[in-house]
Amino acid sequence: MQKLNASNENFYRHYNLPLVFPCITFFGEHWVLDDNTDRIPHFHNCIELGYCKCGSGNFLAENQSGTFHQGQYSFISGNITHKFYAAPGTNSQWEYVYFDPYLLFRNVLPQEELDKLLQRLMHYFGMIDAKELPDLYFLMERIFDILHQKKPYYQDSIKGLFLSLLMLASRNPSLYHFTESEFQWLYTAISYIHGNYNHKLSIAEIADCCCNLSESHFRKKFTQTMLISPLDYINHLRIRIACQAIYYNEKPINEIASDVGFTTLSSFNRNFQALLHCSPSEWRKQQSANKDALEIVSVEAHEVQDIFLR
Amino acid sequence: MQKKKQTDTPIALEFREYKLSDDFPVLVLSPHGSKPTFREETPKFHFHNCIEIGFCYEGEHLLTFDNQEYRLQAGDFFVLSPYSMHYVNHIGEQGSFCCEYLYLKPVELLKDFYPLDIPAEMHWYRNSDCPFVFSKEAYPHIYKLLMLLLKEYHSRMEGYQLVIKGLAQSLMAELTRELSTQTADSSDKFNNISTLLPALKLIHSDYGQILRLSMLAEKCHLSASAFHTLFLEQLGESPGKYLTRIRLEKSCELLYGTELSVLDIAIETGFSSLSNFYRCFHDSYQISPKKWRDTYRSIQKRDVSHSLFHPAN
Repeated sequence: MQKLNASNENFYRHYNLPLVFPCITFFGEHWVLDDNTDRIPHFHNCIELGYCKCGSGNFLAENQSGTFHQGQYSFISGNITHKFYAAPGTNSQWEYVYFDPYLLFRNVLPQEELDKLLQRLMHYFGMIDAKELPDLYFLMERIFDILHQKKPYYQDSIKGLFLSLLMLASRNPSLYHFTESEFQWLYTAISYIHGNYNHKLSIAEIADCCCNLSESHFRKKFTQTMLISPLDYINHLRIRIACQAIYYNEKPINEIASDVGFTTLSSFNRNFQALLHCSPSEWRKQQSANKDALEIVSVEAHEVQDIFLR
Repeated sequence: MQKKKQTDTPIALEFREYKLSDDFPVLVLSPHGSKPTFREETPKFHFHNCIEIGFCYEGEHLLTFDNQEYRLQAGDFFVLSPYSMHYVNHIGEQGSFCCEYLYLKPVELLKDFYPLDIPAEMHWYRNSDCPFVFSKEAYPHIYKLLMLLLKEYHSRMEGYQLVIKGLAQSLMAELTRELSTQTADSSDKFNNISTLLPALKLIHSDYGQILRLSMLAEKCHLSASAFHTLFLEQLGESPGKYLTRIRLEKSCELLYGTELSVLDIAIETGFSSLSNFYRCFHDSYQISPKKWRDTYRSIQKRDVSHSLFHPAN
């Protein structure tokens, strides 16, 4: 296997999931995997569920490699560097579901319980086979079926299944559990940011405590792999979390701003404007008027550009 | 599945109240479990305070509900509303038979998903046009979902309560789709009221207290008049009317499911006086609370024996 070299490549894939119901699907015929083994591995900001519709091939996830074949499902947590490629001379067709467990269950579970669950799922990866893991397989099958059919109340149904899936997966020892990775420094920094976004964060401190790097070196390395500066990353995360609280009108906007870690309302407003191109109250009006705010969109190949942030 | 009129109705009636915990109101009674199962020689008519889902694994059974009978084959399962009178007995010659029963309270179980109370479309289980009988072949997904739920319940593995909550959430959504008669577009309704959610939350939790318009408006960070206008626009009725309607709905639940006096119920549901309660009730239902109770309660609660059951968990 070639040496990973992530610099200047699209190594981190940030999916811009809808804020109110943070889940999207990649369905249809467009998601074809070729046999190119030179592709740069990537990782996501959310959980990826995949279904291998046809074909077979190999995967590389962190330092683990293995094979996949038709009819299997994959479960990949955020922060798992992975790549898949089809057997030589063949193609493999896939479908994907992405969801953000933190935003989805932020109001469903108590904070500590959710943190504990997600902490355990932080570095999970698994290929799920009908014979070996029938329960997980059943849940995966249902999730994909329900999202294909989109019958009434499918959002309610899917939310429940996601929760059961997370718990069952976190309990399952046969999924790979990675603790050692070449990108450990990055994952540590990201999980620190996700756990502490609501406090004042100093880049120098993150660089020092999590990664043992100097501030400038950390900044450079982070920006190179993530294609976004650490400060922008932190602020984007804060805005995305604030959006849900704004949508459900939980608190006045200045309180929400300080809850997610902004020290001044003006810096919150500035960052909000920069990311979503409108003011927080305009955004809420837009969303409330939008009947499809809870709709889960299926992405076809030609629209994929819109999903990537920036 | 067959329906036919029954000529004779057994008299003995029992209220089997299951004291389920508020945090995790789920109970399974199974033949092989250590939990007590009710096996009587002559089955008694009874009713519960929660939803009952029964599974027939082996043998043929007869579910008697009010004055209708349903013949159940192996692989059938049924859903019964709370407070509906029924009994199940094994029919046919000898042979083995095996049933399992699941009890749950959806409002309490799913309160993490729906802090406001579950959506109105999911209230099908409060009507009495049950039972709903399904077969494993016709509804394989629901059956498998339920089997996984039971498996989790028996396993008691770490986090099983969370897994069950998720599965129950999905189950209620699936059942609601299968059982609802009108095409559902009412879930759209919930999209447009996000601004009003804090007030609705307060109404649904504190309907028994005095709630003022100004308090509700303040919760939503709106002025009283702006709040009133928006509420009327989004929900099609004024906040006051909405509150009264919720109070009346809650009072109906209490009239139906408890032995509380009408005065107690009026106080419990936030009405300022008995006459106020009577007037509001009559305006909405054109009948007095007492008459409503007698008419709508399928159980004439004379000679009811009450058996309380505290599950050990």
